[in-house]
Amino acid sequence: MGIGSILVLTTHSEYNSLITPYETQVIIFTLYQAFLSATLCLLLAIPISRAIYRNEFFCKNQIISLIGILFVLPILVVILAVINIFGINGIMNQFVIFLGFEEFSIYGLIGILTGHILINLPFAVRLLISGWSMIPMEHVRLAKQMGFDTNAFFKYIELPMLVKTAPSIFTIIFLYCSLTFSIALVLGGGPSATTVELAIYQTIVFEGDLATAARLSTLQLTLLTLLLILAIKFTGNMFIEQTIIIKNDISGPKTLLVHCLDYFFIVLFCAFIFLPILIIIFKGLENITIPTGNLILPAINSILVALLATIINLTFSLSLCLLIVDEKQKFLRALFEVGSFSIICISPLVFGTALFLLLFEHIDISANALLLTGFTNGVLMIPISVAILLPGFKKIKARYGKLMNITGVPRTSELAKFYIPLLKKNIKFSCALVFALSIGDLGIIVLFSGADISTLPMYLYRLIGSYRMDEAYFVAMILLLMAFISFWLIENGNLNVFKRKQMSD
Amino acid sequence: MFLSASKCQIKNGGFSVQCDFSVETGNHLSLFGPSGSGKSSVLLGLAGFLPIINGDLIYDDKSISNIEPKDRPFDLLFQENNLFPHLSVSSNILLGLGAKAKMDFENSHIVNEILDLVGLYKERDRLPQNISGGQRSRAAIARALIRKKPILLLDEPFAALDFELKNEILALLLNVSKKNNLSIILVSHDPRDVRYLGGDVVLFSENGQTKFYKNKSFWSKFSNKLLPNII
Repeated sequence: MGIGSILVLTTHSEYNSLITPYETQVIIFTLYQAFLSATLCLLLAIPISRAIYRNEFFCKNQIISLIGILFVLPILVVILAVINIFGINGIMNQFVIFLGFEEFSIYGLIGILTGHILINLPFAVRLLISGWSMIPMEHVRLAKQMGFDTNAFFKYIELPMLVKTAPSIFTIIFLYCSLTFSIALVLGGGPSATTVELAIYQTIVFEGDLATAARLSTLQLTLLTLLLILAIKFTGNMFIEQTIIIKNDISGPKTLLVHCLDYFFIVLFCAFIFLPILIIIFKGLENITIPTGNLILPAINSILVALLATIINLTFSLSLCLLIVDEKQKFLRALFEVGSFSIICISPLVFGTALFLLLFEHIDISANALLLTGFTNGVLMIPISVAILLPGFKKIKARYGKLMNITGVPRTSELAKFYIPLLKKNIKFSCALVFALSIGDLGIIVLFSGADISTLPMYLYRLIGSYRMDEAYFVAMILLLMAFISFWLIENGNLNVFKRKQMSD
Repeated sequence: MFLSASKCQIKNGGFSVQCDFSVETGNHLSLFGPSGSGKSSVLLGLAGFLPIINGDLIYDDKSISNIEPKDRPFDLLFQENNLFPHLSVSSNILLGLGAKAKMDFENSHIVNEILDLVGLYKERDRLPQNISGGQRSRAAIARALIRKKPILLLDEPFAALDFELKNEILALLLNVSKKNNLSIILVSHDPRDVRYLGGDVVLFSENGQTKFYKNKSFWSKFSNKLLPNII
């Protein structure tokens, strides 16, 4: 798909492979900021997740559940929160001025890193909590029995888990930070802080220079796919483990200093993660009197886009998972697996532009902007759902594969009779994630929509662009609530409730 | 008297179990009863992983109810995960000499000797996932033996093994026990294990009640009921 998208762009332009010094600088900056974001996220997530997992404190389970929901924090809401806290008139700058220091600017590398960390830290913390919870209780008890000190406990018990888990978390964050453009668009600081994705956006939207976009995208796709292959080779998989088993008595040896540090990390994390959300909700409530007439249509459009994305995503990812587990040849199976994960390396803008170039002569792009955005979101989020669903598919195939053959269930019915009922929880989680991420994503609608069709993130983006901040806060709050509520409803909602009620009536 | 539990009540979450028993040096004890009756909880309590909320655990005339697991006279083998999967068999065994122990000439000699004893010398450099279940059990026993604790606690670590292999490992343990005066406390729901190990028995019932029996009195009371199962 990625190569196809680039080919479409090259055939519609005078392609040349010469990279300009500016493009080299953009590529280096992209890799640099992605590396820094992923490294910082991981370095912060390790002590935070460990502190959360191994200590008992007020609302621990609720905080772990909330961290899960923070996966779907809309990027524009994060940007607005970052501006509010760290911007020129933000809380932090006012505090710095109050202390007698000079104000600082968030725009540039610092802004990009802050935004990326705010979005990815909960993700990394949640996956690492899963990792800590997978350490066998027996190993912790063996360590106590053999009198391991803090260093030995880390070396023999914790480090092996981190070596197994951390590279895939690093890779996912690195890829994400390389490919998002909204944060660099709003929080970046001119040419010196431009990412490849932002440069692609600028060349397509402002200059119409498809050749440069194709060239940049080729480089990006090659580099990121190589990294992904390396990560898969090193870690063995790119799975997202959603299970957390809360155990008692799981902590290793702890000194008073370690105990204090644990609580410092918990407080720091809660402040860093929940403060922006609270600010958006507070500011949104402050501006609740703003007329909402203009808001309803974009909100409905967003729900439609998310619904379409979820249906397309589920169809493709279930089919891909089935294809992977059914494939008998090891090489082909690995190829399909790497192939489905490598979709994560495709530039959404290049994919969107390729769609535009392929379709603009046949359909009215502007009128079908919602359909195209939903389709693109659904396809580009396949790696996320495959990472969630594939481990379950593999387990079922290993456990019941022979039974399926013996009972003579046709291949076409395997999904309905075995995989879907047994993986209901994973499917719900995957759908919830895709739906909520799609609702909050600005995405490629920036390429397709005219002034008349808009989604809620697009509407919010226009409000921020025209400095109508009061309205922006209110819309951001609505967007935040829509993402959170839809995620919670899909993951926890049981549609059978309605069925049972009808039957009892 | 060597080890005695007097009205020891052990708490595991919302469940608690009380037991009385004593074990002489080099003798054995079986904690026998159905699944879910609290046998493993007692073992975890002895090892220091669950709190003893009433009664006392005495070892050589001193109370050990409140001391750290590492300072207790026990080494416990769990049902599974007894080895660290990223370490070779010999490195797993070396850990028994301490987390900071290096594979120097002296330690290497000690480890090799114990590897020979459990018949794993050839597998010394292999990872746990690359050896059989029986070999994994032997490696775990080797690490326990190298620690030279006077009492070995076994929480059904051989449950996944077939009958013959299980007996082979128990025979090895009994042999080592005889040579080194090692006491064994075994958790099992299989009367064949209890018979094979010998020694006294604490019988657990489903309602959480426990009763201590001397070997002879246990078998004279229950042989009619249990021997047909063994045969």
